[in-house]
Amino acid sequence: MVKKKKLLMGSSIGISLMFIIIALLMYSQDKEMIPQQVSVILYGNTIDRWESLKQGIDQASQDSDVEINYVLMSTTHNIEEQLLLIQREIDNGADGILLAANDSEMDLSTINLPYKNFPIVCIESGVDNDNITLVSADNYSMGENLAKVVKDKENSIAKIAIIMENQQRDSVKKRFEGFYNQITEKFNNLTYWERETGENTPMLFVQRELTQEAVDVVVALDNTSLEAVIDATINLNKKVKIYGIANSDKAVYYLDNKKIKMLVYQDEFSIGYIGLKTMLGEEQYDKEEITQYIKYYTVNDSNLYLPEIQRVLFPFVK
Amino acid sequence: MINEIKKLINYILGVYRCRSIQFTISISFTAISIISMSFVGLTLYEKYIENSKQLVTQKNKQLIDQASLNLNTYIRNLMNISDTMYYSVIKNKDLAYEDMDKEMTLLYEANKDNLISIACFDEKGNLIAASPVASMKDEVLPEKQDWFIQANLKIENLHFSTPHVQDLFNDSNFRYYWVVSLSRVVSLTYEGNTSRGILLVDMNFSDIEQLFSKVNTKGEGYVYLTDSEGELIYHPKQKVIYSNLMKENNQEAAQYEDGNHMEYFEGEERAVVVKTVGYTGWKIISVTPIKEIAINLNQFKYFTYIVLAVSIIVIIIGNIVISEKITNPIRKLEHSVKDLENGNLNSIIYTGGSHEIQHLGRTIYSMVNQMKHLMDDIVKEQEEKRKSELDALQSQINPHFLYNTLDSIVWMVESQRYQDAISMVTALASLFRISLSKGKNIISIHDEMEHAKNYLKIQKVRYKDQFNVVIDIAKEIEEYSTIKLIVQPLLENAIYYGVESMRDEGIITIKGYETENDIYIEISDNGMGIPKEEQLLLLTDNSRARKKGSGIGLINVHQRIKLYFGEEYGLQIKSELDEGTTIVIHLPKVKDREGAK
Repeated sequence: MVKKKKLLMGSSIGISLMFIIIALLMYSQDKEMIPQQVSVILYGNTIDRWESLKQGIDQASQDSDVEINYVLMSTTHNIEEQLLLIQREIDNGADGILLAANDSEMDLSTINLPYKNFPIVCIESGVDNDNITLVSADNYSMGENLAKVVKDKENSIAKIAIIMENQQRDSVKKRFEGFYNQITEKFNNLTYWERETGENTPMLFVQRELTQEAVDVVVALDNTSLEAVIDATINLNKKVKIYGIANSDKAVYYLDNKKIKMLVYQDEFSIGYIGLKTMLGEEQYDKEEITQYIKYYTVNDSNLYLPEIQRVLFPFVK
Repeated sequence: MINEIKKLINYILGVYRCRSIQFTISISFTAISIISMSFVGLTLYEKYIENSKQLVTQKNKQLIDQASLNLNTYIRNLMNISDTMYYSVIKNKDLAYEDMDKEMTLLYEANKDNLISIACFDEKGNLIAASPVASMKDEVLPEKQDWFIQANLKIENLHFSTPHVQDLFNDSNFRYYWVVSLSRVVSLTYEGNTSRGILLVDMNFSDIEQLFSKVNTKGEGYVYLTDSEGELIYHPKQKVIYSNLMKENNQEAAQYEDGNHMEYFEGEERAVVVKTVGYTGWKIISVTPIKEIAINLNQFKYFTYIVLAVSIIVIIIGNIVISEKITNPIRKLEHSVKDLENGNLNSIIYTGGSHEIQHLGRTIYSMVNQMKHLMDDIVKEQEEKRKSELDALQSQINPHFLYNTLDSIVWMVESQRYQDAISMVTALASLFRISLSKGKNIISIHDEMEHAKNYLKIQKVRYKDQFNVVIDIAKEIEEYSTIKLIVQPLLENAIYYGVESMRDEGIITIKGYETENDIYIEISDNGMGIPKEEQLLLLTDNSRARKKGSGIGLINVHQRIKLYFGEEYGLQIKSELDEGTTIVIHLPKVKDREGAK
C-alpha cells in the first residue's frame, strides 16, 4: 500500500515537472533573446580608417545576433587610455572584447576580468601575451612583399627612407622586420625617419624630414604614416616615390591618383569577421594558422579595379 | 550474432513469462501503447515537417515574387530614365550646336536618390556630357570598360552590369561608389550626321542592397541575386563571399529553371526557389537550408517529445493502476490460498473482485470447508478411538479389582468375620463411589487417596494386617487433579509382589509432594525388589503375563497417565533387590476444578 502511494506520488511529481518544463519552454519561446554585448576597442581616434574591419565585424555580428559597441581613443597613442577603456567596457557588462592594441607591450594583467577565461581577441595588432589570440594578416610577409616590389621597381642606388612610426605595435614592427630583411638584399642606402619631441603630428615630422633629407623613395608601414607622407609631399610639392602598407580610403584614392606607387592592402573585412567569430567560438579557425585565412594584396594603379581587388579594397557604402 | 540475438530474445521472453500477471499486463499494455503512440506521433511529426517545408517554400516564393516585383519596378524606372534621356533628349539634339547638360542635370536631380551618375560618351569613349558635373580621371579609358564593350555588343538592347566600383570621375572626398551600370548604344547627331555613342546610367548599388535587405529580414534562409551567368549582383553575405570566407552555389543555381529545387551544397541540403527577372535575365534565388527549417521545428519537436513523454507516463501509471485493479483480487486470492498451503485451514478465503474471481474464491472456500469438516471428522474419530481405548483400559481394571475384593469378602464371610465383611463391603462401596465419580476420569488427589485408603482397608483385612501402611501426603497437593484409579493398582502390586511373601512385617509407604510445576506420589514397599532387567520391561512390554493379582500391570497406569497428561508424565521405577521398590507417579500440577469450586 505504501509502495503504491509512493509510486503514485512519484508519478504525480514527474507529471507536474513535465508540465513545468513545457510551460518554461513555451515561456522561453516568447521571451526575446538578449544578444551578447561585444566591445570593439580600436586604436586611433577616427572610425573612418576602420570601415572594412567594421563591415566584417558587423556582418559577423548580424550572423550571430551579437550587439557591437565600437570604442575609439581620444588620443592617437596612449596605453593607459586604452587600458582604461578596456576596463570600462568590461565593467559596463561587455561579454567580450575585440582589441586593436595601440601598444603591444600593454599589460592586460592589470585588467580586472569578471572571470578567468573572459574572451579577449586582438585584431590587426596584438599584445605580448600568448594566451590572447591575434587575428591579423601575415605582417612579416606583407613587409617582405612590399620590399620585393621596391626591389623590383627601383634602382639599387636609390635612397630609401623608412618611416619609423608606430613601432610599438607588433603589426608595424613585423612589417618593418620583413621589409628590412628583404630590402637590404639590394639597397644599402636606407634612412630611418623618426619623430622628434614636440612634433605633434606625423605629417609635420615627415615634412621636416623631407625638407632636411633628399630621398628617392619613402616607405610607410602603417596607415597614419602613409597618409602623413602623402599630405607632406602634397604640401611640399615633393616628387618622391611612395610605397606603403595601409587600408584607408585616402590611401586607395592616392594610389588611384598615382601619388602612391604601390600599396600592400590587407583584407580587414576578414580580420573583423574572423575576429568576432573566433571570439564567439563559432568558427573553428586554427589559431596557429590564422594568417592563412586573411589575405593581403599588392595593389598598384593598373590592378586596382580588377574585380577580385576592388571587392576587397572598396567597402560597400550604405 | 543471430544466435546471440535469439538467445537474448528467448531470455527476455523467459523473464517475461515468469513474471506476475500484473507485470505482464502492465508491460504488454505499455509496450503496445508506446509503440502505437510513437508511431502516431512520429507520423504526425513527419507530416508537420513536410507541411512546414511546403509553407516555407511557399513563403519564400511569395518573398521572391515581391522582390521580383520591386526589382522590376526599380529597373523599369531606370530604363525609363535611360529611355527619356535617349528618346527625349539625345535624339532631339544636334550636338554640334547644343549640349544636353541641362536636361541631363534635370533628369539626374529628379532621380538622384537612385542614381550615381548619368553620362554620355562618343564611340571613342570621349565624354560628351555627365551629371553630376565632374571631371573624368586622366587616364581612364571608358571604351575599355566592360559596360562600354557590352553595350556595343548589344546594339538594340540595354546592358546591365554586375556591381563594380565606378572609376570614371574624380571625387576629392576619396569616395568610391559601387554601382550597377545600365549602358546602351545611342545615336548621336553632329551637324546632321549620326554616329554611335554610349549612354551610361550608373545605379547606386546600395538601392538594390536595401531592396533585398528588406526581403532578407523576413523568414528563414536568404535571397540573393545573380546575373544570367551566375555572377553575384547581390548577396546578404557578399563581402564574406568576396573574401573567400564562404562559398555560394551561384554559378550552378543560375542554370536552374524557374521554380522549386532541392540542392546539396557543401554537405547541406537546401530548398531553392529561382525566379528570373524580366528583361535583365537576372536570377533571384531564394535559399533555405533544410537544417534551418529543422531548427525552427526543434521547439515543436521538443514539445512533441515532451507531450509524448507525459502521455507515456500517464499510460504507464494508468496501466499500473488498471492492471493492479485486475490482478489485486487474484493476488488476494493467491495469498489466502498460500495460507491454506501453509496449513492454516481457518484462513479467510478472499471472495471479492470481479465475478470470475468471486466464483473462484467461493469454490475454494467451499472446498476448504469440506476439507475442514473431513478433518474435524477424522480428529473426532481419533478422539473417540482414544477415549474408547482409555475406557477399555479402565474397564480392564474394574473387573480385576472387583474380583479380588469380592474374593476377600467371600474369604471373610467363610471365616465368619461378618463385622469385617461389613466393614469391607462399606469400604468397597466407598471405593466404588469414588471409582464411579459420576463418570469422571479426573478426580482430585484427595479422592484418589481416599480411594487408596479404602482399598488398603480392604486388603489389610484380607491380609490380616501382614503389612503396615504409612501415608504421608502433603496437604497442598490434595486439591490437584489426577486421573482416577492410579494409586490403587500400584498398591495392589506392592502387596502382591512386595510384602505378601515377606516373613517380616511389610511396610507400604505412600508419599505425596509437589515441586514447582509437578506433583509426585511415591508408593514404596520393603519387599524383595525387582531385578534390573525386569524393571525396564515393566513399563514397556504390554504382552507380559501377570503371575498374580489383578493382572493389571504398571504399564496400564503408565499409559493412562501419558494419554491424559502427555509423554513427559507417567511412572518411574526405583528398585533394589532385597531392599524394596518405589514407584513414582509423576503428574502435572493441574488444579481440580470441583475442588477449586
